[in-house]
Amino acid sequence: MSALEFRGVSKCFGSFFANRDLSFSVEPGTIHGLIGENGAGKSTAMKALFGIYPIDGGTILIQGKPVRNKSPVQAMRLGIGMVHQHFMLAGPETVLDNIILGHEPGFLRLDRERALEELKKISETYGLHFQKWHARVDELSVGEQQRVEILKLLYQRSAILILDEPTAVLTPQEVTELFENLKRLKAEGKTIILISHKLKEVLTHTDSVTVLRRGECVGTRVTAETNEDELAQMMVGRPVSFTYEGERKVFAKADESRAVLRVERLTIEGVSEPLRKVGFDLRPAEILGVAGVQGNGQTTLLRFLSNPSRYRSADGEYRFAGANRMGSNPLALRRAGMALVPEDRLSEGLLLEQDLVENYLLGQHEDPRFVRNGMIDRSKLRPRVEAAIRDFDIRPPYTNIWASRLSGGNQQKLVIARALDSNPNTLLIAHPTRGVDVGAIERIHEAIMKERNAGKSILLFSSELDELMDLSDRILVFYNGAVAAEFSRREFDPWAIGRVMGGGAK
Amino acid sequence: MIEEFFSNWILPTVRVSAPLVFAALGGMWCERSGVIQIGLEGFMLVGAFFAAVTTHYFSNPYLGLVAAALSGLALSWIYGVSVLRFRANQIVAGTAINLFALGVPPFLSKVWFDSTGNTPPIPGEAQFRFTPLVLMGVSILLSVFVFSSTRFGLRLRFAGEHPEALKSAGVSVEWKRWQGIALSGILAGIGGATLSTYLSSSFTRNMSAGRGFIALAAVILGKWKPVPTVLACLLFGFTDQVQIRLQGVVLWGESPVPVQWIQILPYLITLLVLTFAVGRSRAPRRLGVVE
Amino acid sequence: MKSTWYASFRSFLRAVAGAALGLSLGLLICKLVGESPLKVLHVLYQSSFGSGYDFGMTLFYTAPLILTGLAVAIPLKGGLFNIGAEGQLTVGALAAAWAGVIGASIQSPVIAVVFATSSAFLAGGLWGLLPGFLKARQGSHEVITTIMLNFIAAGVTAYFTLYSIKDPVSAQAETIPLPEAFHLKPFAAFNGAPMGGLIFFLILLAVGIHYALWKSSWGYSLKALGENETAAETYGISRGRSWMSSMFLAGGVAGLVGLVEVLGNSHRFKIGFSADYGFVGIAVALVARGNILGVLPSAFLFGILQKGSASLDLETDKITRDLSYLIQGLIILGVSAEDLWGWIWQLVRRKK
Repeated sequence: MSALEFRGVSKCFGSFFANRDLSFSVEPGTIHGLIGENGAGKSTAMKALFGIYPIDGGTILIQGKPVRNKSPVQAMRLGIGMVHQHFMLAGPETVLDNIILGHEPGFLRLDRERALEELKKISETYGLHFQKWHARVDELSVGEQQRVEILKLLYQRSAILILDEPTAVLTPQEVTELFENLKRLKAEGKTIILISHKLKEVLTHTDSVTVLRRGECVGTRVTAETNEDELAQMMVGRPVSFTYEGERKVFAKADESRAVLRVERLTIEGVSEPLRKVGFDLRPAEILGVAGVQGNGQTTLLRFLSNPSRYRSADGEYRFAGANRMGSNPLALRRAGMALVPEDRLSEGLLLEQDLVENYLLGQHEDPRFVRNGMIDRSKLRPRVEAAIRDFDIRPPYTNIWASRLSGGNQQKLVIARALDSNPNTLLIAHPTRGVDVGAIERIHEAIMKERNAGKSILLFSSELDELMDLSDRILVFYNGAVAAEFSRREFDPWAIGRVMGGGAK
Repeated sequence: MIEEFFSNWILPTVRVSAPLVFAALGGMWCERSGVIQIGLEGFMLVGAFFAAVTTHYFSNPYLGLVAAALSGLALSWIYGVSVLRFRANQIVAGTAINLFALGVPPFLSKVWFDSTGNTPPIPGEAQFRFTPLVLMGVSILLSVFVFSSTRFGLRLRFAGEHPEALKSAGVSVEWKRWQGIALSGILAGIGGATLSTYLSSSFTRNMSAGRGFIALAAVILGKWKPVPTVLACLLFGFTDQVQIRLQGVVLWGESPVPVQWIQILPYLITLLVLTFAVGRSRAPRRLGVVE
Repeated sequence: MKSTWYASFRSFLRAVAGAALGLSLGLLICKLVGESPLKVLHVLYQSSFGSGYDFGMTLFYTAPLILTGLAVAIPLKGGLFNIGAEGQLTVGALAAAWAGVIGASIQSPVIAVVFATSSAFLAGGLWGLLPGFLKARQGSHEVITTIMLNFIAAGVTAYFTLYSIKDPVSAQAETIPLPEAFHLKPFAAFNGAPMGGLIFFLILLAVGIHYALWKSSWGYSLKALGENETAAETYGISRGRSWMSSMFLAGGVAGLVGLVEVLGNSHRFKIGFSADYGFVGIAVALVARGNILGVLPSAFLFGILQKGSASLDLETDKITRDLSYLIQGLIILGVSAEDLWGWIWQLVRRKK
């Protein structure tokens, strides 16, 4: 009897099928992968399972019994639990309070002691070795927070654990630890569903795998009997190459004194991600990758480089385009030839309730090409936006719609097109392909490499090690607010880089 | 000496702080659940009015207290419907509630007493002696306990800090917010009652005079935690006390300090404290976010 | 393709419908206390449009509301709630009256009016700049600081009125009257209602501000900041500069209420002259849904309400002018309820 079975499940929004006739089953005590591109219907399927959306057709069976979940609570009672990509944890509250939320023991007064005893037992049974019950969640590392989420599900006695892209925020070492923990859970009889788009980890760690494409189930395979190429073809519908294999122009060895951007002994204290004596050069015609587990200073570095005026307490040296840039503002840097693709396009890059023209103006709102005497000439801007829509194949191709109407990939293309519009000589690019479809990823990687081959300097921040290794000429690894090591292209090796990301030596 | 200090400073300070404490605790509960509460002023005003009217008719201040709580609750229900059901902007709806509440007492007093916004005085024996202070003490203790040691407090805090987590734990976020809003209506209404039946003996036009806003400032100053919030209220009560005591006092030169300068003292201190003492206090993460 | 133009048209329709709903609820309350809604409407109409004088008075009530409505709507573009128009207009009006005392010897009406206008603008502007500065510098919430500054403005202006430029002849709390050169002339057609060419100036002012906000780089920065603070800052828009400049402009515009009241009407500053213009300005801006040009009709609506409710005192038995507060509150609730129409629509469909 299957732990979970989808039998012909459909879900539509209007005339659009988010899930069409989905059928697959998950055996108890296994790790089952669920893969597919963005928008393939993975999250719709899981939301249907959780009763967040009512389904329009078919049946979902749990332990062989058909169920109609109307709310997440019901799903929880049936023993289904989920670790979301964005953790469901409140930072200022304690680990213990976060875990017991919704299942608090005690009548009038919370019986925290009883909960703690039970949790210690659970932690021991499953070998999770967790200690910091009374710490605030925001004092924990990302890996620890993820363990708290898993403990929460175990405390709720979930039998089926769904993990949504659990490795996106972890170091390779933490990933290993996560999968060791998952194997122990499996051994204790838990069923685990792993939602992922990383084929390698699905191939290494699952027992079976189901592939979705455009809302439909392409097929289920026993992991041991399939390979990366087959799964990739199932996912995309055509053969794809995963590594960037485009032209990488070879330049004469760059003269180190010709750095366009140089940082020395940069120290920023008193922020959530401090920097300690960071120093590096960015040279012409190179892509310099920045790797590191989220929270080790990369965010502060990017924010500082693009807007030093925000960090009055910064100490050290920052030179760009031949001038000292400590305390500069973004517009001055822009005039000197810098452009930015920020970390999070929604919160940092777009005005969601404005049309594309207004969005295109952001950052260019004082550019003399469009602004004279402080007055904006939008008639000069509109053709530029139309050209960007053509060049980057942004859909739907209209200038007068709100940015919120574009999909994630198209929003990202807009942000990148805007960054390239002023023909900058230096680009700071963060997470260019986060939440972007495979098709768009290729296009974005091509655009970045084209800029490099044209002699531009690019500082590339990414949490995808594969992406960094494909594109970069050198990689800096950040740990604990400092540059822990530098790798040149011939030294690239995911294990070596991962070790440094986790605090080890090169 | 100590007795004198007590009767001249401590007791009066606690007395004038009472309306603020009730309103601020209400505001804290509401904001902790994730809903901005600008409308405290309005709740206090209707609370003060209905307490005075009920006490006038029945010569029983306890009934007045109940009427104040109920009227505050009713007004907070309107607020809840706008912001939770109809997803109105919370500052806008709060402003509307305050305007609305400004019109209620004069409108009804015209109908009931043919006056323009004042009520007839309540009988002397029906005025509160110290019950509100006892009630205040109980409210503070209860708030502290409920806030940190009960299921209700835990869940309400999550409603403001991480509503998705609460929702995925199977608890209705909206219901917690309703409860937070209702608590602010009831408590601020009671705070209003102390104005008209404890600190004075009738309702006068626009009697709350900005105390709802001061209470909100106390919540912010108190970093949305019960004990610091109460302390902030006491600070404001104290400046109010200083203000009363300074009137007619010659501090320098020959003439007394002009009354206009003294009257702005509580507001000036609020402004200075908010600006320089608090720093950037951290609000509940999802305060005011329309879900 | 649904365009942004369509979205703003829908939002306009929703505002009108919301205001109508609020007004109907207010009239329903009148019905409940035994006063005929039709009679209330009739009194409102007669009192605002009944004669040249009445219409002039309606415009006289509208004028300050245009200014305070703008004072709320401008910073709102940048995401700031200016609850402080009341304080800003009080300070501005006092400055206008003070200009008359200082410039008593000015003969030329043009110079006199320009002098008084700039004083009012500057004083109101600086009073508005302060919360903008505190917000940018210290992160103090503007809603609280502007409310506090309202109380402080009331105290400070009262002090100067009584101790610095008090009219020695008058028994009232008011300043020395303005010399003739400072007086604004009303239209003869209004039969003595104190409103003249100023109203056209105010309309032009609103149009000018609308144009500047749409067309200028400054306006774009403010709008971007209001829409997404983080993104704006990331792309080099200075929060401090935008917030301070918009609050200065807003305060200055609110301060121009001094022109309407001091130069146009009483020719002096009287303590407590404002009929809560600053707070009603919040309602005006919200009903206009923050649209600068929308402030004009919205202010007119509230002008009618203010003028008309004064007559309700006299012409009905049970209703006072305070009814206008109730109605204003209800109108704002009606306009701000985002999901109201969707909800009603659902109810209707379910019935079918």
